[in-house]
Parts: sequence; C-alpha cells; structure tokens
Amino acid sequence: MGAGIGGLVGALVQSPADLLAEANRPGRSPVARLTALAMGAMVVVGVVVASFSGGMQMFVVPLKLCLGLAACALLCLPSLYVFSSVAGAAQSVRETALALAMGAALIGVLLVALAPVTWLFAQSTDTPAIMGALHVLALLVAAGVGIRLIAKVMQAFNGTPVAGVRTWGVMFVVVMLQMTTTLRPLVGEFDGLWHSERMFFLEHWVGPIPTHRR
Amino acid sequence: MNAKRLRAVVVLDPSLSRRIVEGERLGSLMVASVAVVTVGCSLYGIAMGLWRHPLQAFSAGIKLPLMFVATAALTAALDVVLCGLLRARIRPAQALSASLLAMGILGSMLGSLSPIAAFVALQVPAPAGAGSVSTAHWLLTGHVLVLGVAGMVAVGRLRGLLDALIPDAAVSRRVLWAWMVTHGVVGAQLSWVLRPFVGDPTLPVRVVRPDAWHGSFFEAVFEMTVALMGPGGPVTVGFVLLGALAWIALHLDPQIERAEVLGEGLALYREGARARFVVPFQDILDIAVDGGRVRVDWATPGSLERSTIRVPCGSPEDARVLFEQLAWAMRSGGGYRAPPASSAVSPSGRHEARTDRLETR
Repeated sequence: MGAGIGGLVGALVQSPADLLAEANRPGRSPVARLTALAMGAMVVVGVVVASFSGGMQMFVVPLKLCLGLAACALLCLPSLYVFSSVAGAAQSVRETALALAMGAALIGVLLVALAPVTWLFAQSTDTPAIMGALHVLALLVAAGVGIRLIAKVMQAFNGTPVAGVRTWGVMFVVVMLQMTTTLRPLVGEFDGLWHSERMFFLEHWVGPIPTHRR
Repeated sequence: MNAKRLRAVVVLDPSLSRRIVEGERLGSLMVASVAVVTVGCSLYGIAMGLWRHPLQAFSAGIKLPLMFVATAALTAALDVVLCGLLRARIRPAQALSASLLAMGILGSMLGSLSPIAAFVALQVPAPAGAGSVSTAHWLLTGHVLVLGVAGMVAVGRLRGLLDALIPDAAVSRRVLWAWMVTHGVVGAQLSWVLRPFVGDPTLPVRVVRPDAWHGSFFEAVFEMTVALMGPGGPVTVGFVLLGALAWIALHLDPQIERAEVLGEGLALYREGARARFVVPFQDILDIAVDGGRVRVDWATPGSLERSTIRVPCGSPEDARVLFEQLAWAMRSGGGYRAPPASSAVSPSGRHEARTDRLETR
C-alpha cells in the first residue's frame, strides 16, 4: 500500500484487503488514518454544501459534518458489534471499529468525488429543498457503498457472510438522516449553531421548507 | 506540440493505447488531448454560432470546448473512484488519459465537420423573418445529431481503450457505462448553463443567458415532455428510461463464448472482447458444475469482493469435462504436470480443454 493520502484512498477503493493485512501487523492500525481521511473528506464536502448559502455556513457546515459523521459512527459502533455477534460473528470490537472506519472513510471519499457534480447542480437552483434532496441522494448512494464495504470486511474477518449487517445498515442510514436534521440548517441560511427544537428527519425533509435561500 | 503528435491523437495511433497501458508520459498525452478538444470544438462552436451573429460564433467557439473540458474536470474524481469500486485496476492517470483521449477524438471529429457546419449555416435562410425560429430549431437538431454521432464514435474508441487497459471485458463495460452516465449528466447540465450555442433569433445576441444558472437541463426536459405529451408524459418517459436501463443492466456483461484451461489460469473469451481474460488459479475460490455450465467463484487479490462467472459448456457432460480439467490444474498448481485424459497437450506445453466441445454460447 502506498504512503500518504493517495495510497490510503487507493487501498480503500481498490484493495481494502491490504488495509486488513496492515491491521494484523502488531502496533499498526489504520483506524486513526481512516478517521482522519473521513474527517478531511467531510470538511471538503461541508465547504461544497455550504457554498449554496455562503457566509458563516462556510465555517460551520464543515465542522458540523465532521462531528455528525463521527457521532453517527460512535452511536452505531455498539449496535454493529452486538448485531454481528448475535448473528454468530467472532470479530473483536477493535476489528468492528476498523470495519466501521473503513466504511465511514469510503463514504467520505465518495461524497468528495460526487461533490463537483452536486456543486454544479447547486449553482442552478435557489431552492434549499431541491439542493437538500440532491445532497441526501448523494449521501444515500455513498452510504450504500460504504455499508457494502462494511459487510465485506465483516465477512473477511469471519470467513462467511455476517447476517444482520444489512439490517444494521438501514439503522445507520436512518441515524445519518436524523443527524442531518439535528445539525440543521446545513443547506439553508445560517440561523444559529444549534436548534433546540426537536424534530424527526421525515418531518424535516418532507415538511415545508423555505423555497428560496434569500 | 508538433503536428505529428496531434495527428496521433486524432487517429488514435496504436502507440497511444500502448502508452496508456504502460503508463508512459501520460501528462503530455493529456495536454495533447486537451489541445485537440480545444481546437476542434472551437471550430465547431464557431460554425454553430455563425448563423446567428459573429459574436454568437465567437462565444460558442469558446463555450463548446469549455463545456467538454469542464465536464472532464468535474467528473475526474468520480471517474477514478468508480474505476476502483468497479474493480478496474488502473491508475488515476491512466483513467484520466483514456477519458481525455476519447474526448480528443470527439474534438477532432467535430473540428473536421466544422467546415460543413459553417457552409450549412451560411446557406440556410438568415435569422430574420417568419421562418427563422423554425430554421434555428432545425439547425439545433442537426448539431445535436452531429454531436451524438461524434460522441458515439468517441465512446467506441473509449471502449477499445478500456478493453486494452482492463483485461476483464465485463469490468471494462461497467466502467464504460458508468462514465457515460456521469459524463452525460454533467455534460447535459453544462450545456444548459452555457447556452445558447446556436442562438434564438427572437432574443438579443448574448454570450450567456442572464438566467444561465437558473433551472437545469433535466427540468427543461421535464417541462418539454409535459408540453409535448401531456401531464402523463414524464411518467411514460420515466418508464421507458427505466426499461432501457434494466435492459442495459441485463446485457451489460458480455457473454463468455469460450473457455480454456491454460498453464497460468482459466482463460475466458468474451463476446466482442479483443483479448482473453485469464483468471489465475490462485485467485479461484470455488468451482462447481451447474447444469450445462461451470460456476467459478474468484476474487482479485487485495479486494474483498467475490465474483462469480458461469461458463456455458453446452451440455452437462462438457461442463463436467471442464470442471475436471480445472480442478486438476488447480490441484497441480498449473499446467506443468501430466494432464488428465480429457485434455490435450499443445506443442507449447500448455494443456487445453477440448475446445471443440467447449466452444459454445
């Protein structure tokens, strides 16, 4: 596996087994580097998402997305470990964390790759609802690919497909969608760092949304 | 950059394919490709805008190459990631070179057609009078057709390049389709943003529309479908597109026409592929007879993905023969031991399946 960010991205996308091999060597775990990659990717994605509204959002949204992805991973790590263990898997918590870190990093990389396309369409609309839908679509595509990688890594650790990972994946997606609501506004104008009002993601994404950014 | 190098891009000199495969001096190849796109598309853009006004010709001469280069730039990262996810083991520079070279071929075709387009633009009725809107529509339709044909030729060349780069024809096709979709979506939106190219005779001449960033190509198509087919139009078009996508998905992987057991692995000859694809024995995880076919599960080293190939053999007996040859070759670690009775040893030392019985569709 090549050194640097290029080598890490290459290994993640093309040969994830190399990362597992690296993790097996004593004192070498790629979890920290994968986490850094995921956070860096979310900063880039955050800047693209915030470019729709500009202003203060350019600083706030990258930070929110970093925290959001990290929070989703931390919230879902216990359930991934327990779900897979109940299904008969034997990997350790550390290995489960590696699988999750690989999935999260791949989601970040894919979102960065999709960012120029979403940016192009972002310039053509004034409607936060359309823009939000576009970003959610990109997130769902990336999450699908990331969850597939997590399932493959769990399979590699256990030598057999692990039941329950796909079900867990649905929960992971729901948690991510809820996080986009908890951390709102991500697409619209900056109106404070935090909304204390509680809201379910379906209400947020399907309910009435301001029709224009300005 | 000399004329010889430009010509090599235009005619897709075989040495260029070899350079991409071997990863040699890809930077200069990319620069040459961008130069051909710029010159060729500029000439065609000028011809597109010539009918309306010299200013329109000038602006279209800048906007058309910009559209193609911007499409390549905006999709570059996604193209590279898609290659990795689709298990195409090529380097990012190779992927970008192939993409830009195909675009260069498109540019060269457009450049070569620009004198004809300019001639037509100067011969049709001038943009004044009652019939000018109709003329503009016909011109635009003609240009879209030319762009479509040139695009198809470029895709054909890109297919050849990808086949040379990616040994597995099935993976090569998936990458080709994935790139066509991403380039199509982004290119269509950029064509919307950078409009007009021909120019509407009822509107003042403009470099770009004041509402260039308002709406999208796909919204315009949606509205046009409603106008032409009524409220149910978009649903109908959606179903047709879904059907087309389903058909493409079902026919994406080229059929395996023939298989043979070689010293280094199982060689597959796919329909339309220019070269065989060899699955090394060490990558094969499992083999089984499945009726008249042999199922082979294999994994690329480093990848966690498991692929399944079903080799059609015509009859269960033929499938059993291939299975036994493959199982024997895998056990022996290759073709250096005495082959089983059902195989024949070629003068080159490799042992081959009885291809007369395996050459089935």
